[in-house]
Amino acid sequence: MFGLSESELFFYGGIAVMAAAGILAALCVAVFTCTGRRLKKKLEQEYGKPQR
Amino acid sequence: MPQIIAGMYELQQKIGAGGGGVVYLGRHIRLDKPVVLKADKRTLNVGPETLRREVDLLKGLSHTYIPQVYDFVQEEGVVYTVMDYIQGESLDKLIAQDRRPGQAELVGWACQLLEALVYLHGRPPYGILHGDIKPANIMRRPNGDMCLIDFNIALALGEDGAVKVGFSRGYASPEHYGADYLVSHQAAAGTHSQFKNSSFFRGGRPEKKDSYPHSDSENPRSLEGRAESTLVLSEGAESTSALNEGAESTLILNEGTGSTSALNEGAESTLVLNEGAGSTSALNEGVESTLVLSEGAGSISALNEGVESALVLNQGVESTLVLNERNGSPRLHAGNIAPSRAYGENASTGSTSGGRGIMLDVRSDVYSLGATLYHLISGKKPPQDAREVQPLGKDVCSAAISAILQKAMAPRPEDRYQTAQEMLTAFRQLHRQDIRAVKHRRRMAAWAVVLTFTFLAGGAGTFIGMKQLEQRQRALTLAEYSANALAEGDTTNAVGLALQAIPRPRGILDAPLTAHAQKALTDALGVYDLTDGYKALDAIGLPGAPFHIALSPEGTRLAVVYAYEAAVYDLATQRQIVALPVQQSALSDCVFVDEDHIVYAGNAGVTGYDLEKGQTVWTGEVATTLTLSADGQVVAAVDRDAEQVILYRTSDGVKLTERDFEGRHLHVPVNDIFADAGDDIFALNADGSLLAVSFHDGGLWILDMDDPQEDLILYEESDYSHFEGGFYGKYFAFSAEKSGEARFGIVDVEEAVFTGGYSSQDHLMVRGDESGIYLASGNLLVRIDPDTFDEREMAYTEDARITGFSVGPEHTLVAVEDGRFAFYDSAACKMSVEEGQQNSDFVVLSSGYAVAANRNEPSLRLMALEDHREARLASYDPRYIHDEARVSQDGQSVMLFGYEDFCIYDMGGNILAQGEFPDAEHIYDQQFRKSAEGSWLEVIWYDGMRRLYSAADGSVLSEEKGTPPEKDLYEEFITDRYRVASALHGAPVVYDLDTGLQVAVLEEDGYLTYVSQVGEYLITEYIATSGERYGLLLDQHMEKLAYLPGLCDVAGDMLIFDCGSGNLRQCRLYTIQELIALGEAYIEE
Repeated sequence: MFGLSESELFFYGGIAVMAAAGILAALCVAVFTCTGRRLKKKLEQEYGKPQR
Repeated sequence: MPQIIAGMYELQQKIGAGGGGVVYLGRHIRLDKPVVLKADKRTLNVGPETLRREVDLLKGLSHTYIPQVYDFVQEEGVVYTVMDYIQGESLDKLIAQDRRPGQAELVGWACQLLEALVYLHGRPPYGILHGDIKPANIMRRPNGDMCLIDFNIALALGEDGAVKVGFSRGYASPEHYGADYLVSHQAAAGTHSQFKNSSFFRGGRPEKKDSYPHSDSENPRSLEGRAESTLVLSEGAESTSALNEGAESTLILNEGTGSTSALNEGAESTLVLNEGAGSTSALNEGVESTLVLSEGAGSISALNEGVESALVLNQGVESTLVLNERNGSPRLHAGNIAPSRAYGENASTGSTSGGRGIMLDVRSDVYSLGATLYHLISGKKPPQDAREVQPLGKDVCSAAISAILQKAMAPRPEDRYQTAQEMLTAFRQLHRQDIRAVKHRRRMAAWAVVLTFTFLAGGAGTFIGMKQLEQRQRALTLAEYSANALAEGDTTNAVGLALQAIPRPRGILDAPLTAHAQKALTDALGVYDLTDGYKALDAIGLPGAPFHIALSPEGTRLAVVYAYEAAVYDLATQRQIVALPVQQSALSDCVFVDEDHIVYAGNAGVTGYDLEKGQTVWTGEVATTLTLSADGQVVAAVDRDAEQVILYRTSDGVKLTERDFEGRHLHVPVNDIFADAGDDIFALNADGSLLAVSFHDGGLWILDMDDPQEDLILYEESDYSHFEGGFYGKYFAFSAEKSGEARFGIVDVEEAVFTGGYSSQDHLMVRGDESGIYLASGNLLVRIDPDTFDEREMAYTEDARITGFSVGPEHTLVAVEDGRFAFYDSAACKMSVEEGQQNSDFVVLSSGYAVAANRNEPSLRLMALEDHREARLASYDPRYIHDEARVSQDGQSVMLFGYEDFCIYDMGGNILAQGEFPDAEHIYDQQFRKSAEGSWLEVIWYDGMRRLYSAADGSVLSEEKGTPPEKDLYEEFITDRYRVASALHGAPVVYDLDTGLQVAVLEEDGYLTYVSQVGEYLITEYIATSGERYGLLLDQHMEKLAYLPGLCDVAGDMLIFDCGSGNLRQCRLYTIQELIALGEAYIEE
């Protein structure tokens, strides 16, 4: 596939997967941070500030 | 005039009143601090000590959301409890004003109140129960904080809880109504009969009937003796009634009445406290009374000892009931009694009614707080019956809050939060437990898991790939080492290295089998090399670079001299037999007498050694250079610079003769420690009677060992510096060289006649022994007939100069200057070629083995004769010159053809047909075709003529003239997956049939003639520019798996080789598993 051997596929594919996972993780962090803040604000509106 | 209490507190104003007492706003005179003084109403029934204990209990409380109790004072019989003045407003006012808090605000309040409850419930030893949590008992401070107040009926919990002592309808937990349930149940059983005429009990709420006398008087009334009276106290009446002994009266306290009623012994009375009635009633001993507390009645009653009374508590009654000792069943005392006492006394009360067994615990407070919050958030007071509590809708509060309240208000205590802390936790975890937050966390967790897994999987893939690439690189290196080892003749090592390059069994970190490794193993095993000839067998490592090598007459043993030993090896096993010490000179010799005896230049002298017995047979004088007569009987020995030669009998070392060189000696190099230039002739004839010797002064003599007078002096002395030669029968052949000139000659020693010779500017190598006289010059090795001087070609090395040769009984070994070895058969046909790294200085050949060595390499290269005649498929006349050989589809005939003619043989070597192609000079291409219908040779001419010749009989099957082909030869081969385009010039290119993309470029050193597909492999056949035919086994990626020398055809999975020696040989295609098995077997051998 793509002119790569099985080992090269593992190696470069693994790097690509890791990179994709890293990028996705960064995206997820951003998205979840954003949605988390929104949710926190919403919950604070409903329940008040979190009680300790 | 403000009233001063205990000289310390100034009563300023009454700020409230209730069942528990009157509450005043006061001021601490000395501290000038506002305080609250609560005048306790229970003074009537409870002693000051009891109240003090209560206050002491409460004084110990200190919490943000609980008022601090400071003091307990008594003034004029009234007990005052001094506590913090809590500014703000009670929550019941909020409710009254219909000011409902927001949900978020309510949660904050709940948490604060729960913290207070947690604190209370956690007080040692078993906690304190508030017992009366309701909006009216919760203050909202100006800063918005909550404060839980009114601990009038607070109870110290015991191990099992506390009995109920009072409650507020709607806020009290179901267990508060235990007595009410009891009466209801008893009514069903007839015990309620005494109320059958009391219509105001219907509906749980007393009816106000005008027919009843009532009074709003504040005067106490007393019904004594046998008076039968009904006393009704309506709103505003603060009367004290006493129904004394004998009185049969009904006492009704309506809303607003704050009367204290005492039903003394003997009174048979019914006491009814309607809503709002805040009376304290004491039923003393002997009273047979029925006490009914309706909703809203806030009375505290005490039923003292001996009272036989039925107590009915209707909905909304806020009362504390205490059952005293020795009460009948059900004996209920009502009264505002200290919790400790109440609990302690009831601990010994043996009740069978069930009502007295109901215990309050922290869950009651949990219920009450839940109900309070329910009321606050919904604006609706919870129903008295917990089972009727309706869950709050989404329009009121969120589902989570509703669920918390629902759980807090569960009818069954065990279904509620078991502690305030649990409920507090529930509120605190509202954010965390919210379904949206949970989903958010789940989504995050899911993504985290997925991404982590993906990342780890990627990392694992990278790691595996990296390891595999490492392993692949290692395999490539090993394959290269294997090829190098094979080039050096170390087949065993080559096979071993190739096997190492193949992972077995293949783990996940191992790279797939590399084509290089497979090719290395295939090459090392030589499974596809079916040519007969000497093939690399092994390489023997030596302690030092060799000076001389010698083979035994039958070629089973090898002796090699290095510094300073003579090691003898068994060629069959390649194992060393013995290492014998020799003179410390590179001139030291050793010669085989026979297979078991050797004579060597031992450090103690010339030594005869028995290899079989492993012992020295004899020892002679010190010598370095030895020569053996052809019959093996005599050995001549001369020391490096000695001027005499001694002849020994090889069998026992007896000195046969001794000759003086008359002041001459052999050429001795300046440094004979590391190398023997081999510049001298020192040779005996067949029987040892003649010794040819060259001297350092250029002299060349043939000494007659028997008669010095018969010596032949070829050169008295000369400027020749290098001599080679030997005896062949009566002839002595020699070459003498000096700078730029070489001379070859043959002498008839019997006749003492120089029979002939010639001069050359090339280096001449001459060997003379019992098999003949051989002369090598340039790229030609010939055998010379000494009589006729006829030359017979022994080997022709084309463009490579011969650097050494050895002639065996059947074959000739020739080493050429590019490091290769070529083996020729008796017909001077090249049998096989071995690659070498360096030129060989020593080559020796026997019937089964060949050995080569270099003066600079401490190793020997061993080759063994391989015979593959068992693989023969078909025979033909080896003299027939052809380009290709093809087996017919039916396997019955072989067609040999070239561009001029063809010849068809059957498999037995008989000619079936032969013919010539017309106009052969203009043949464009030839292709041998096979199909189910048969086999034929397709010949195409440049003019477009196309003829098909039958492979069975050579007849022309068809003849047609088509379009002339293009000038440049171009062919295409189609397989299942690929299209191979081969042009006359340039390397063949492989294209994928599906995508049309280029896949690979094939071998460009030869011209591609055929492409065959065998399973998943491709086999390409080439003609090298030298005319040599070969094939390549390719894998799916077009990588070379094997070199197929002499491949001429592929039939099924059988490879057919034209070895050029008159026969076709075949072998099947080996799988990698078979190759591995062969390799392992080879190593084991």
